[in-house]
Amino acid sequence: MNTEQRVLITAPLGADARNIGEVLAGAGIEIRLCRDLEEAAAELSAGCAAFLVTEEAMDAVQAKVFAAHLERQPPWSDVPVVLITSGGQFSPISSRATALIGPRTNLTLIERPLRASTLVATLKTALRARSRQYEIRDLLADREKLMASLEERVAERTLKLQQMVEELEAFSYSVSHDLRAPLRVLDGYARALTEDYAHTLEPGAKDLLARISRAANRMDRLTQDVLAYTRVSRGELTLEPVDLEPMLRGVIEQYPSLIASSHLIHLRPPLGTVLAHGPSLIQCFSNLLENALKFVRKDEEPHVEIYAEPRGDRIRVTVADRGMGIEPAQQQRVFGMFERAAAHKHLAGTGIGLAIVKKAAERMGGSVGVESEVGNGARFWLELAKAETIGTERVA
Amino acid sequence: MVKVDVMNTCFISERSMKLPFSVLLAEDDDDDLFLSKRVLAKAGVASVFHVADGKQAIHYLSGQGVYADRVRHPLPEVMLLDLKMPGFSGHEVLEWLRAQPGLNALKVYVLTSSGERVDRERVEKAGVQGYFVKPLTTEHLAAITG
Repeated sequence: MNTEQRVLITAPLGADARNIGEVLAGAGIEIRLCRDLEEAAAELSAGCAAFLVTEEAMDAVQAKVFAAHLERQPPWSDVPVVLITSGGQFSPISSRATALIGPRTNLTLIERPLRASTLVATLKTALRARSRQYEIRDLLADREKLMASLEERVAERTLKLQQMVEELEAFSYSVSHDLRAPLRVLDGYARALTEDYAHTLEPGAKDLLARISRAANRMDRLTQDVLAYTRVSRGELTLEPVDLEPMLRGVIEQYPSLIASSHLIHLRPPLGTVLAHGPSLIQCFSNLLENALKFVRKDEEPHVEIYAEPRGDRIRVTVADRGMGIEPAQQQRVFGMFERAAAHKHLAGTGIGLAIVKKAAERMGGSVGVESEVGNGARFWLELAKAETIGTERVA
Repeated sequence: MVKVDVMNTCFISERSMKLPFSVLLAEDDDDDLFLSKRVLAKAGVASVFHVADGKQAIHYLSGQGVYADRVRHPLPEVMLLDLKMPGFSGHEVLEWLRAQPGLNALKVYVLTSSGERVDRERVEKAGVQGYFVKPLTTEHLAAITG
């Protein structure tokens, strides 16, 4: 028997239970007769569609236990209770019975004398209401299952992302250690040969060795740049306030490739504080400064200025040089991967430096650009949010 | 406010020493070993000893097994320690060294291909005398001698 479809009946007086049971069974309603409220409470826990009780069964102690069972129903459930009374709705007996069954019960009163049709109709209404409750229960269960599977999928995706980040870190570490090692050795042997056999090597041989060294160094630089690009593209960036002036002084005075030319770079404070990822910002400015120092006319000393201007809630930092400048047609292309202005192919570089700057700026919620006229220098700018306007945030 | 730290190629402590000194090279790569030995030889460092991994480095420094003979394998004044070695890494050697008060006089310089911030910070915490990114140069030796 499906316990969910049955009607529990507690009617202790005379032949009430049997008569009611026969009427309901005759109308196709499944029934379960219960001796008293205690038994009915136990059966209620096993499931039922409705509960029919006569007021004579309302023993005060047992009714309390039964009411407590009703209180413990899940949120979707509100078992219909049909109470058969004798003295009318407002009689002391039915009032007492109503009070005993609990004020929040889904209660219907039927007065004696009982008519079979009224009884069947009342129970069928109760069963219909109950079947709606079951539908709600099933929908809630489906929703819960969906939520659980969604949570599972989110957890799976998060784990996968974490694994990807870890793999990327491992890959970067391996590239920086293992892929660069043979290049360093290649360069080392070429230098050793040049130095240790200087007196026996012909100029042509020395030139070839110098070419080997240059190629190894270029490949090493390329590896480092690809690695830097990968990091700014895929790594997790934490944006924090960065005071531009001390950061730039640090870059100019300590960055290995800039130390020798630090006197040619002029800071024009105040520069302000931006919201950025420190290491990525250092990477951006070291790349911009290396470019500014590199692209000068032959035999001319570089002159680089760094200044900043507020633009709404952002700060635009400009690295201005007096070098060769860039043709208008090339100005957007220089930020592309492996793009180098045609006129500068003879100068050392991998063509990734500005792509790194652009990617890093975008990841930090900023932007980059260049203004230039051929022969009149270039002004590369980097625009980032002022630190005062937004708090620390993470970019996954 | 973040204090932005620009990566240096090396950091050197105040304590320094005079050439020539004796060196233990903990290095697993033959090419790096060859090039490091060449630079040391050019600088006049004649006492160069070699171990090929972290475990051997620990055995050497603690005088275990074949390294018990201190005439053939004397305690060096300086150790140049690679980080990425098979078995015991340089990091593990540094960890072991911290618990060896008898080796306090040994000057340890990390010589690694890693310019990675993560390695640099880990090593700085271990309290070594310096961090050099390969290849070994005369400038590095000058930093050791001050």
